[in-house]
Amino acid sequence: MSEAAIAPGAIRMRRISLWMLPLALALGLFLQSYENALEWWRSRELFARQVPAGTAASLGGGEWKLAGLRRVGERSDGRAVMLLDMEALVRDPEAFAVLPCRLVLEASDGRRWSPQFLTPSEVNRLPERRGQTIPTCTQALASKPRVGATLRISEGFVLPAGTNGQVRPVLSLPAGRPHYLRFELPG
Amino acid sequence: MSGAFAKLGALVLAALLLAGMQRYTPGYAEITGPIPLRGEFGETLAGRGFSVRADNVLLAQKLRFKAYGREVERDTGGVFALVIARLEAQPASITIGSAIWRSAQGARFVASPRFQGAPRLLGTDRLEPGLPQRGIFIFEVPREAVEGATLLVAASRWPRLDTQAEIALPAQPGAPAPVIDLGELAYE
Amino acid sequence: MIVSWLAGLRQAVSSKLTIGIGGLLALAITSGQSLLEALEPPVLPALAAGVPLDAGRWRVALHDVRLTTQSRPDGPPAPDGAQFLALDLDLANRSSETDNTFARILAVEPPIEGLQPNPTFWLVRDKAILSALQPGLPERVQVIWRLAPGAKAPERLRLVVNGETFKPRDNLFAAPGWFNRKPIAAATLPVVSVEAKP
Repeated sequence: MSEAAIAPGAIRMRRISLWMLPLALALGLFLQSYENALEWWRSRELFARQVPAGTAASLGGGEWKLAGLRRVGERSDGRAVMLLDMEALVRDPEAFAVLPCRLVLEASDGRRWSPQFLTPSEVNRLPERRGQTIPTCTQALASKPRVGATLRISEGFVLPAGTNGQVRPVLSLPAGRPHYLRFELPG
Repeated sequence: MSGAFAKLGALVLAALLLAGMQRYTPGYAEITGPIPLRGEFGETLAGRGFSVRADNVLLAQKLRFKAYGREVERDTGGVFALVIARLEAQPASITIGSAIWRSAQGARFVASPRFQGAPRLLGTDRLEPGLPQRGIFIFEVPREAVEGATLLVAASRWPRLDTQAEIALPAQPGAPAPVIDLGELAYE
Repeated sequence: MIVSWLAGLRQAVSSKLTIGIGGLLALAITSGQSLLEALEPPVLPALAAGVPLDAGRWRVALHDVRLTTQSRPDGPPAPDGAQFLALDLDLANRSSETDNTFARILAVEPPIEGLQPNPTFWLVRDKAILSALQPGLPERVQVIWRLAPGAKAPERLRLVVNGETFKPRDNLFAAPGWFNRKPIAAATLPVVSVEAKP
């Protein structure tokens, strides 16, 4: 069988096409998924904003201030029961009302504790709290407040013995990511 | 003629290679599924998000416990297998969503849902870092599935690229006791 | 000239046929399959009471149906005098994994007026709601449908049992699963009226 003559220009074109193939694949992959990748990157907690004690910082449609982190009691084997109080001033009601709200206590070694439900008898150990119902972060966001409203938020935590001195509240909201707030404790 | 044989041979080789790749490539569910973390009985396994240690295995025909103020007794056509274990969250709060008894024959028994309200039942309360929980997983298995089983613990029922701890349980856990009262188990 | 034209035509047809034979074959086979399926008789085999049947991941044996005023096994009569249909059956998990999809296997056909569409499954051993069945451990289960007040209680209950087939690797995730749910048997059971013991 005789082989058809291939023009040298065609050989070069075929070689170039072969080398362009990985490039085309990479480009296709990038175009398909850059939106998803951007979304994923934006939804992580990457940039912390330190909030000095006594000041407010804005995140996700509101201005947040730490009102207090107090130890209200002890459970078995030395576990400390803590009560966290925050104040939020609503600036943008739509961004503010986006759930879920992540309000956790973070220790210096990176461990994080999520809020727990405290029984009323534990909360009422603080005399100024008796007879008051203060909403949790989720309840406050879901109540759809209006512009300019100031909300009080309270969450309970149970920490192992020995850590209650070195934890700091950390707030992360979907509307504010990738930034999040880390509050300094007074004193 | 040898040219034709060579071409046929190349064709057959290509077909074999393709068939082999098609047969032995792990499926999508396997590639994106649980990441096994294997360990021995009594060894602490630290995975992503939690650590687990299996301490003891007890068998029983009937279990008795007090739930929501009422005495409850549960019996079974097979046997109840209790695994006493210690769970801890690291570094953040986590809920252990699944505990599975995988028998030596490959059957998977999810922890029994008949024991709501039983004392020290693991998987009900959320785990917090620094506050380990010692409690039990309760499984209901046929008699053939008791020996040489594996305990699979993970944070969710169908872990996706997440740790699933696999603990090899004792090959002969002993004879089942007629009744075990869950309120009287010694955990320490 | 006609001869050469015919020869050219024959060659064109034969080359197109060679190229398209795969597609034509696939079309013929799928058409034949759908034709065969449409021709299958819609009569379901009858299932007698007490006879076990393999229905996908469940082995089911229907026992009896009672008209009762109890909303749960061995419970008190319902306060407003509502009536319930209680079906006793044996259920065993044939698959190798704990499963809670037993609600799919039974359907009341033809539907009875006033009957609750989604019945409750009770584990007779515990007298509690059935959450899941473990592989290899058959259990006695009671299925309870509520009859709307004023609805006429049926004399016979016709149930259709659905079965599924097992695929070790499915088409989407290459994971094992049970698919293609379709009716495999029908059972007609007489409804026995039971007076609740005082």
